[in-house]
Amino acid sequence: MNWTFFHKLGSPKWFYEISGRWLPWLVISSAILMTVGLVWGLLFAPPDYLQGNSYRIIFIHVPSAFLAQATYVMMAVAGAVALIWRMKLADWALKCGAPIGASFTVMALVTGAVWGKPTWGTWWVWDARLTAMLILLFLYIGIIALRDAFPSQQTASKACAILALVGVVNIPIIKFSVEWWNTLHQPATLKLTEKPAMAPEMLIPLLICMAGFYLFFLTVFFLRLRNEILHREQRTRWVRALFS
Amino acid sequence: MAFEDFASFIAMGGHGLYVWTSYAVAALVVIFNLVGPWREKRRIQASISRQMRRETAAPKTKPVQRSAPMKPAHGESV
Amino acid sequence: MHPQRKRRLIAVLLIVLGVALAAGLVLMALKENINLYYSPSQIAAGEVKEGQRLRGGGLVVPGSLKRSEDGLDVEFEVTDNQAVVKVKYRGILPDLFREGQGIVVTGKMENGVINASEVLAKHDENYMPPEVQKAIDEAHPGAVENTPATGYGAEKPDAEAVKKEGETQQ
Repeated sequence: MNWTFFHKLGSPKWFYEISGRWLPWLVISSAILMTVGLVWGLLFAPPDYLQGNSYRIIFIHVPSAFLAQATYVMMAVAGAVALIWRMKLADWALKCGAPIGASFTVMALVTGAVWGKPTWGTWWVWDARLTAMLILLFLYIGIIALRDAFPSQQTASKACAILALVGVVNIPIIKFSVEWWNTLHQPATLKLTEKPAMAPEMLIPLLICMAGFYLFFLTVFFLRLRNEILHREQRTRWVRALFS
Repeated sequence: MAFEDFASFIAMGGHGLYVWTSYAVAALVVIFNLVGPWREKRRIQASISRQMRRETAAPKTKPVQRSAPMKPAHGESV
Repeated sequence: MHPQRKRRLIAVLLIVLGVALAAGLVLMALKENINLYYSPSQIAAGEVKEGQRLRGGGLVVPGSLKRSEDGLDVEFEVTDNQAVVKVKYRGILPDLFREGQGIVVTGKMENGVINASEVLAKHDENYMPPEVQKAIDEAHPGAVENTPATGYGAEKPDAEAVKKEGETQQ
């Protein structure tokens, strides 16, 4: 296996340059996809046969819930890379993902609660899906807090990486909670193996929203990671060269 | 278009409050994720520029000396 | 791979596997407690004691809904297609409540009947426009599975559902 790509990825300078070239495209494409997807979903998608118009919350609820989990998986992978290969960029990626993932978890929980009130008749219920999602939020908060709990940066990095790895067990629990136990939350609409349980005129805007939110994640993740690189590498010659 | 007029779009078939609350929360999360790193970037850039100016202006003066005269003033006020 | 990295890789894998195993065992042990509600067959099998507070859930049996004259006292039956349990409730039913639809009730077991203090509506993972639902209803009249029996064109026993339907149609 050729490891040059991997070693390049470990170089903050290389990442800073590449991400700088990608950023404008990410900003433009995420803005276009999110606008098209949300306007389509809010204005042009037909109402649902059962829920009427309140189902339109799905266009932000599902993307945020997917991103909340995907961000965590990314952080766990970054944690493993940081532990095994001592790659500092992976540690910074773990640190920068946490506030973004936490904010999307809050978004999924709040939009879910606001959707639950008119459909289920309650804001919150302690079923397996909702509880597992709340645990995900606590994991994010734990990782953010753990970073500042150690005087040594190296110990903090290691502790965060281990917590990220330990917590990743929660992700399959969130995903399969609606199949393993009986819950108030309905089973998944989007499935990998089967046809989605949604009419195409609703599904297409939803998929566009999801693509838009994923690109939005990449945009703000790159913004944060680039800041972290500048901060940590401020004494290096290449950062100095950027400012002179 | 799924709505006949603007008023029914806002009303969302009686669920307007729920739908628009959700979208407002989504907007806040998007803004938080954009404004946070944007302010952080300006802060870091300013701090690096300041540091570099300080080093070129007085290469041998260390920041330690600057803070020295501050100390008695702080002591008096206590 | 560098032997030290290999050791750390194994350590990382062991952490993840160990935690997954532990979580799996705990969840298996807690299986019944994680379920949000008892199904009618569990209740029929005597898993719930008389006077116990519980959550029960299932599909509302079509044609089982009875209302008192003031419309606030309701009675209906809930099924999981194996057993049936009767529910009594006084209060306003959620918008999505209709026969054939999934619901979850919180209440107390009294003489084999759940005396409910709260009724929540479940909905399934299917989303479609009203016209599509209408077409399905016409193709399979009386189909209960996955679709509410009181869909488009069917008689609606629930005044609120009728009102909602009107709003949806716009």
